[in-house]
Amino acid sequence: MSDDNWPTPLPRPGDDDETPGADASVFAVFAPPDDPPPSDEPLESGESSEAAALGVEPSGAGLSVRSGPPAASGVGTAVLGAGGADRVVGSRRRIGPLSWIGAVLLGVWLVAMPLTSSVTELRQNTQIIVMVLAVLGVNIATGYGGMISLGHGVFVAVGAFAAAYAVDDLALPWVLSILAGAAFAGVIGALVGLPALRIKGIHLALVTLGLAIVFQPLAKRVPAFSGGVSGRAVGAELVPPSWFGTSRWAEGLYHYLICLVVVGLAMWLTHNIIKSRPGRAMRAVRDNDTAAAVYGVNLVASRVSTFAVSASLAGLAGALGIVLVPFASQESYPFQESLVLYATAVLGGLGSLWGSVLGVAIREVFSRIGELLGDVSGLGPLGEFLRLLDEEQFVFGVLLVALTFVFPRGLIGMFNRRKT
Amino acid sequence: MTDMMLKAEDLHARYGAVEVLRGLDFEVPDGNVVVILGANGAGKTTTLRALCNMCTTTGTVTMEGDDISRAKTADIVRRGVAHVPQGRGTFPELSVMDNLKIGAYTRKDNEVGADVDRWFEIFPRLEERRDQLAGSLSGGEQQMLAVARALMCRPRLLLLDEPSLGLAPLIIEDLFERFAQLNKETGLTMLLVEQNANLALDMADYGYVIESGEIALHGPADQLKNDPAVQEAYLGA
Repeated sequence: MSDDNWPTPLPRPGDDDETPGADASVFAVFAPPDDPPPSDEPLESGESSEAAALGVEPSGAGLSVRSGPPAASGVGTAVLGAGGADRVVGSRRRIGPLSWIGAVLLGVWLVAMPLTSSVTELRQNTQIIVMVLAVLGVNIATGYGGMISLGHGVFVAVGAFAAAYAVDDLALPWVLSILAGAAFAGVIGALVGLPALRIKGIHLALVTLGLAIVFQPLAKRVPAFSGGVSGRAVGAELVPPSWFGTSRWAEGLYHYLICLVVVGLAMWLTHNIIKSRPGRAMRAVRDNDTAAAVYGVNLVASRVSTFAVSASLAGLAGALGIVLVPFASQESYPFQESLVLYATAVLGGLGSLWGSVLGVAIREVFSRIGELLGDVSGLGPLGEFLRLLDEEQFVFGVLLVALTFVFPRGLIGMFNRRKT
Repeated sequence: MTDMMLKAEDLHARYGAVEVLRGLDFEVPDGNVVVILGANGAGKTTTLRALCNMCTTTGTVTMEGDDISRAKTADIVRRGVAHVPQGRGTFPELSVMDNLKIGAYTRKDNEVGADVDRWFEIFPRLEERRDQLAGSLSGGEQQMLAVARALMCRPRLLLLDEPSLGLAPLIIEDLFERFAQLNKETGLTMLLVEQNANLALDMADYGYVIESGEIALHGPADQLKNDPAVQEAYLGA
């Protein structure tokens, strides 16, 4: 009996506005000029007669995209018309050269970083790796579930507090405590997801932002859980087995490896969830909830569980955080942190797991380049300007402004145009 | 009455204070293709929405003898009514394959893959694009996808809302040929709402013409096709 109309889904940012010009400039910057385009569909000039039947449509913006027979060549064919442009999508997903370069760089860094880092640097870098999970959490809610969340910092905090409570007050082993942190955040996330059943878009964004703002004063009032104003120190330590070594560096390496494994497992699990039946329903609800409901998808269950999964990823990040730094305080989670998580997720690319990795990575890389440039001296007025780059916030802000123009679908758009 | 797939009696529908349907009576016999013709705003889309209980209605709708006037939309879908909405309503950011799998969301059997292959035979273009995002398909392909997705829930009655909308004439013809093929090969009952009277009446067994929410004219399709009033209003003769 609802009066719902069949909504034509709003165009998502960057859906159709990628011009060939923008693509060309991307490739010009990131690929050697002699390389073939790193997109996964080399242009083919031959066009079989079957394209005439249905692939050609006068109302299209001067472009028809057509793929070759999947079994035969597995190579998509893009027939570019004169003026217009559309997204070019291959018939099979392939790993382009840029992705290989990215994967190799990441692999090398993951091996070389701990070997060349001081104890402090190793811990800081591990914290950055863990942050991928929080960004991934935002990505699940927003990129896959279509529910904007500006409050995921709350779930990170809740995960940290719950894990600290479990490991200290309940004296649970670390494994269980970390899982408890994620689970508790998931429960809170499901509750927070309830408003998402009724409100959408910008209004949901405001509601989640409101929760993030409310969190700090609230956390101060429940000292048993959060340690109150000053926060809570975590007494238990995650000590490596004796054969692993007893130095502080060995302990740091142990924590790094554990976090790396957990992050990897969580990403693998998330990937499987997204590809599964409930994951497909989640994405269908994002694209067109009325149509999804008509095909029998339970909107309430889908939205609430999406938010729960998304929040438990953020909670997992919080729980791993107290392994690295045995302290949790509401002070570390002002609502601005939630905004940064959201911005990082968008920066990397919503609707792509690797987009979240990329978002965190690019933010770190640029902030470090900024630090290096900011330290250059003897350049006069230019040096004064460069000093600005020393400030992480400045660099991140500039990144957001610049990259949103170049990659409206996030940086992952550089690697492939296809979202899951 | 068992050979009557769907029957509407005194069907009214309103959006707020505006009454759009003012007492329609029509029948869709099992295995037939029935077309509802009408100008913009006549109430064609509303008729389909009213059948699925997607707007405020009064009157009686029976499906195979059972009253479904008060049933929930999702339950009507489970009874075997699939609605291909105007504007297609595909999931643009899902692949063609994922779109089809959502169509089979409520099914528990293991013949989903076989069904996909079956509709790929009728719409081979979809198979070529099985891994592409639905939003990247052309309008005609999206319409095929919307129909194939609806077929994935194994409907016994397919409601098609202006499938020709915004498509080039050649593509419309192709699409209607496939609809006719579907009806002939599977015996699928179809209720089609159209402005493209020529093609629709060629394919249909029976037709209704509605004007301002009331049935102005009805009869067997070939008879309607030769009716001077219909020819003047819809066939441009």
